[in-house]
Amino acid sequence: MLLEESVAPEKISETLGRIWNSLEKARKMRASLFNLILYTEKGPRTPYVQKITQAVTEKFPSRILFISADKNAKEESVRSKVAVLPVGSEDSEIACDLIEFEVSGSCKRIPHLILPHILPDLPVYLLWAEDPTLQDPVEDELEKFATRIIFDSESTCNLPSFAATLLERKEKHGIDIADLNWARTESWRDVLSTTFYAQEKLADLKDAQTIQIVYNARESSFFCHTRIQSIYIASWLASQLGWKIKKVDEKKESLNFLCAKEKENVTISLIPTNQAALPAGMILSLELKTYQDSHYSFLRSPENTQQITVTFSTKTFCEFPSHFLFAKGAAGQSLVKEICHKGTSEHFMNVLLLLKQTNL
Amino acid sequence: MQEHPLEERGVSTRFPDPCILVIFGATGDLTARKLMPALYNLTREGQISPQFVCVGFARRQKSHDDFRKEMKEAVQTYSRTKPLDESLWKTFQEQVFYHISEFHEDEGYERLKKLLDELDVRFGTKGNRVYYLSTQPSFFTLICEKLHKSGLLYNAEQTKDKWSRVIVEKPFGHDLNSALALQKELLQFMTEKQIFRIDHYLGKETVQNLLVFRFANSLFESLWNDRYIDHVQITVAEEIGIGTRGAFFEEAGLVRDMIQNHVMQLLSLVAMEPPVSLSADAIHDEKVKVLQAIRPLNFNLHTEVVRGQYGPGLVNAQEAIGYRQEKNVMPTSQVETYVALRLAIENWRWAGVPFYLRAGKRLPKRATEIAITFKNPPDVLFQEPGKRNEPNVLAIRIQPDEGISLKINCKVPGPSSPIQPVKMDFRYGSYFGMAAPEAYERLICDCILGDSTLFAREDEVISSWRLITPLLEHWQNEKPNDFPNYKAGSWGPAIADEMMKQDGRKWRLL
Repeated sequence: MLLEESVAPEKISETLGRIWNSLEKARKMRASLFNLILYTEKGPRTPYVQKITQAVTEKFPSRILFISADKNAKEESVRSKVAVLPVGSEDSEIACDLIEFEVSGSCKRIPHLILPHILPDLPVYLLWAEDPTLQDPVEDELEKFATRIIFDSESTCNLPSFAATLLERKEKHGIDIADLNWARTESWRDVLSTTFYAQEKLADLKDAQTIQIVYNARESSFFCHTRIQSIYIASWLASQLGWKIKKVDEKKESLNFLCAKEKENVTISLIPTNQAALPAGMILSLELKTYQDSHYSFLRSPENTQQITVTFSTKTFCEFPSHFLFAKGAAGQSLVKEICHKGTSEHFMNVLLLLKQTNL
Repeated sequence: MQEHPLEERGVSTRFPDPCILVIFGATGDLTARKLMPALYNLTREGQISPQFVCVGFARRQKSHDDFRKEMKEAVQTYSRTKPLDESLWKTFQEQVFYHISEFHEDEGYERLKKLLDELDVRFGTKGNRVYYLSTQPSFFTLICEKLHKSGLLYNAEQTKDKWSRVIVEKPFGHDLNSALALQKELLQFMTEKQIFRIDHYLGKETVQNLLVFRFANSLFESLWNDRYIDHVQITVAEEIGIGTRGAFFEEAGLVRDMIQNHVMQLLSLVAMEPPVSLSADAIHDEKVKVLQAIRPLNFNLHTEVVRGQYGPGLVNAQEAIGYRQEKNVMPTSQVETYVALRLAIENWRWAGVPFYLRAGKRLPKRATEIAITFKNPPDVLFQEPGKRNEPNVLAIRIQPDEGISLKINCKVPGPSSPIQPVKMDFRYGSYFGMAAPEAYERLICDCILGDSTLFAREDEVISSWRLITPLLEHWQNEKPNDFPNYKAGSWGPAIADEMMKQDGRKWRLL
């Protein structure tokens, strides 16, 4: 952060102007590719949402409008702050604006607070960090000028309801939607599509008998719904391959999806484990067995958790392992890409449609 | 083609396959300055497989460790990211090897095969191969023949569980006949899909942006034709001389070094029709079409073709020797170091719009730019008697200071109405804070992925040679009598200015 000042809401533009004038000698360039509005309710997840802001400005200059709301406060107040953030490193030539609002009491004012500060002609991305299944008039208002809304399924306890809500938003308002947990599964989706790219490998995938996904069920202060990423991968495979979910049950903490294919069934099991040193919800491994006794193993390396080792074997043959690097995940690139990506992922829509009808 | 169920167009990223990259001519300049830094940065950013191995193939005696040490110094000097990450280098260098052999030795290829097979087992590279021919073009056929003979180049139609590809550097041939002959020779050993003709300009972000700029913005495409455009200037200027490449340059000259490849690629991207899709073939098809629409050159000097050679001068306030004084250059050399061309594209879009191309060594600065000059509005409003306003110019800066600017006319604040040209400027550095990957990083990655979009297809190269070869033949017979005809540090020979002046135009002062 280059400069930061607390300021009355009506003085925001003037203060930013003054800050930028003072930075003229430092030859900083003011830039912005898009407007990013982040909304969160004051609480333990606020630092997590602030981290997302950091991840974005490390890659792209943007006009950040950060809103932290305390609906339960007895007194009504608005506190605002402005800052200039360098893009990338501290000594970067490029910097962008951050405008923060802490709103207590009635939040009806929020849209009016941020509207004057949206840069025209640039996309407006809204990151709604709260549960969208709970009706919120602030969200309804902010949605009106967003070109894209990024939700966080971590905020909800009811994933099918979350899926239904997102689909309804998309249909009703025509806004593009995304989910941070979906972004976190990008590298897994890429490694699976790369591994099963060739026709004979795809045939193996379609012949799957069992798929076991092991994930880190250790909760953190920000994450308690640790199986969402695994559910997404399971649902993605099912929806893209045309598998119908017949039954979902829980046995010994594992969540099992029994899916019907054309001829046989496939069982996808989500198995929790506890890894203190790893991020909550992280997928650690995926094992696939086919009816023809082919076996695929995708294993995250304990020494380098960004590396996935893939092995393939049959009864008579064993292929040399392949290694893949999840570099994007490490750098937060997937999150940033999801925030800035155009349109709504068709695969994500398919997953939502499937989850909407699933009894989880 | 049916989409793979797990791939989402525009979203999914395929991980590059494990493979071994063998660089022939690994002790040369290109490996040190460009290839090894590119591989290091690709590794650094996780853009290539952890199971990637590099083998340098050259005849100089050295050990694996000697080569690794030299490459470390090269990366420290030339990498776009600094300082060198020591722990990353430590891991990276363990996958860098050196193989000693002459290009013609059969035994050398047998040993290479043995080494590569061992590396396959050790690193899991699965038999996938890229052979980078960073050598004189005269070795291309020989090397490919040897690779094929020793089973190192696979038959693409019969081998499905592994692949092999060859990257060749420009120039591809030295004229039309040699390019056709080279193509025929190489096709004895592999398919066209296995040949990746590199033109590093195509790997530049700013060059890739040309298609996005033209076809993702409706504003410009509707103006991109003879109704609105007066002329197009393409400049590829270098302030450096030929350096240590005297021997090569004496054989090649600037036309072969820059015009036939880099400049013609820029021209085709600027002038092509919108492709039907973003597939490699669709884009190549349109580039070939526009190259084939270029009217054959008229060799009449001062009208359409100018050549030059730099003499002593001052570049960046430093004394610079003339071309004929450079190392490995004949004191009576007739080789051109500057070329200017006036081309006409005979199609509905460009009829009557001249394309002025110029490229040269030892010009005042390094600059590659495409400038679209628009026609002036009618002489009715805002024109002073005898004085026209500046035309609008859209300038696409390829390097350095990458960006796009648009020159427009504005009123100067105040009661009178003088009109002043101003520039609306987009600079890559201002908007995209992150450093763009170097061209070679993108190209090597694309070759591993099997994507040939950013490489030159055979018919593109042939079309370009078909245009250029008659000029080279003409110059072979008509030697210049005024070389050197421009001072190092100037913008080229005076007759190049005359070429523009007779059209009522002038070269942009960059």
